[in-house]
Amino acid sequence: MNPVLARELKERMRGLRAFIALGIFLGLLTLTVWIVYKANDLQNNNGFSFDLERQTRLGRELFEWLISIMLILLFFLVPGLTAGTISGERERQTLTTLQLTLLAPRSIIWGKVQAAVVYLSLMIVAALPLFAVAYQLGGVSLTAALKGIGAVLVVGLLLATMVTSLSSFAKRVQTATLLGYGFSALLAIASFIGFGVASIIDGTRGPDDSNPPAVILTPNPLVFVADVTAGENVRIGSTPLRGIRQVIVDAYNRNDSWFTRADNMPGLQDFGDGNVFVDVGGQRRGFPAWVLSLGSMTGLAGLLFFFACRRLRTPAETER
Amino acid sequence: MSTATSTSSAETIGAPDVDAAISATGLTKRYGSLLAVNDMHLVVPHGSIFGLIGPNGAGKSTTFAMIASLLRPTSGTLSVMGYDPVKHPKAVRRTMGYMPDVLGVYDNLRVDEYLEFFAAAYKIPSREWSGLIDGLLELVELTVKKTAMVNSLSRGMKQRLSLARSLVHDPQLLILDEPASGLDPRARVELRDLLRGLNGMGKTIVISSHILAELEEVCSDVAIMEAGKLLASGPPRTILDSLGGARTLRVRIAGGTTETFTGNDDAEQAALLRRLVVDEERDVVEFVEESGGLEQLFMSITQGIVQ
Repeated sequence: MNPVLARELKERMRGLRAFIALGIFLGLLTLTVWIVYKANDLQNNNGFSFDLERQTRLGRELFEWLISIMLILLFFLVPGLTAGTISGERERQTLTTLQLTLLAPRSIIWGKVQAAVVYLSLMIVAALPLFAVAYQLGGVSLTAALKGIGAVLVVGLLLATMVTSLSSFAKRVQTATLLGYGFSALLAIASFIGFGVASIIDGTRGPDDSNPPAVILTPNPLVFVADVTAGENVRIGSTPLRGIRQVIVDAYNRNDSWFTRADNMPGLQDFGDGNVFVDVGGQRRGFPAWVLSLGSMTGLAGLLFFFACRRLRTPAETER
Repeated sequence: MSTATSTSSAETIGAPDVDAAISATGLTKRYGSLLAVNDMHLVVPHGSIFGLIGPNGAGKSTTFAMIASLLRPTSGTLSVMGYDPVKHPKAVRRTMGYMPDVLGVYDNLRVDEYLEFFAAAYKIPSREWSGLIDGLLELVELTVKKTAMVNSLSRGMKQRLSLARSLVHDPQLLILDEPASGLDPRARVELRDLLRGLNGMGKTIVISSHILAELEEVCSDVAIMEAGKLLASGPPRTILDSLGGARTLRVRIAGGTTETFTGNDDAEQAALLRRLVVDEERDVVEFVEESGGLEQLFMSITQGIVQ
């Protein structure tokens, strides 16, 4: 086991903070279940009757809301868990002694990322009974539920890698925390803003075929999870993920050689798994949004990790 | 009046000495326009306790950082236990223990967990941890604190824990940057005894301190730095001799009379003793050279330059 991971876990689980954070996380998810259940109950209160369709819709609604809230909480939790990791070592002046051991910079950073992911996994596992409620009600298959939870964990891993890497560039924890939260916020909204701005610019040029490429949307964890969790009953109800899916579908329908239909193409075909591809002679063409999203985020995380390793490498030109 | 000087050992080194624990030739570190270490020639003999002395900003910590493979020299060559810290940093780290001037410890760990972490970081097999940690805690006299939280330790105890950490992989070379700073007199004496014990085990110790009396008692060799330059290096006696000053000799004659004489070197002292005992047949009961010590040496050599 990576010594940094073992030490981080000991330190983290020894304090009360870890359990308070876990309690708040579970409390918010439980509140989500209660609100969704109540809202659905009020909307459809037609007396004592068994309504399979309504129950299925409620199950899907619960699942989508749980995933959405979990994802939003991740944007707050991950910077909190990882922003101060490397900069904290630097601030309390333990980084030097760590750099002088036989641990490579990548082991130090990766140990920190692993510790954050293990803790996130604990949170997600603790939240599984809430997902079981949605699953029991129907509207979401076991595979779809596992895909959704897995996608959240992947986002946690990538975000933890990015923010931990950024932490190695800051000298103070305060700076690293600002950097971490700023970066997370940017990751959540930058692609939507970018796509919106591109659409406005494009609109001023009049109607034409060269719409802004939908690929702009993809380096975004929300897009990734929304596309991974697309499946049966995806168009029912209104959750944040459905809103994002609609943006993706709108983008599909624009002119984009990555995964959208050009005017001279035969058309879109739903292959039954929630992902829409251009159908060319029965063959899939282009990539699903989640593949592009995963690829771009992994690339970004890898790049930041690489530069973070370089930053911690010794002997260095200046003391870091 | 202070006099800047260089001893022959600091000047005549041509190439890195692989037989020395540390050997530097023309070692230079520049930060923009600031010359932190300027053309340093240094030899630290194996098995010595070597004191690096200098005022704040002299370049001691920068020198240590280069020796410890944390900083890349701007120019010059450096050999630590026969390895180049730039080309073979891991080999240097295997043979060297480093204790920085600031105590950075993980407060939320127990003392034994803290040492276990570093044992793992130095890739020591886990089956060896228990015996190793018990041995280290016994050496630094922290056995009773084995399961105490690190944040409950006093500064002196943290200092000893930090020393135990630097010894976890049994290095042959120890670099200690200001290890006695902030310690009370008892802790200083204990640290000094500990260093002597470690030196007795065959470890080479390089130590920096502002407290010259501290170094004087333990160091076999010293180097004096100022404004990034190494002014003198070698055994304190040799450096004092090279300064050319006359030695003061205190002679106590039976009956309580004390007289003082001056002598420039060992031959003159021997001649004086012979004259007193053989020629003049006086009952000499004490013949002592009054040493000005490191303080005098430091004041003679440095000029109080601040970079």
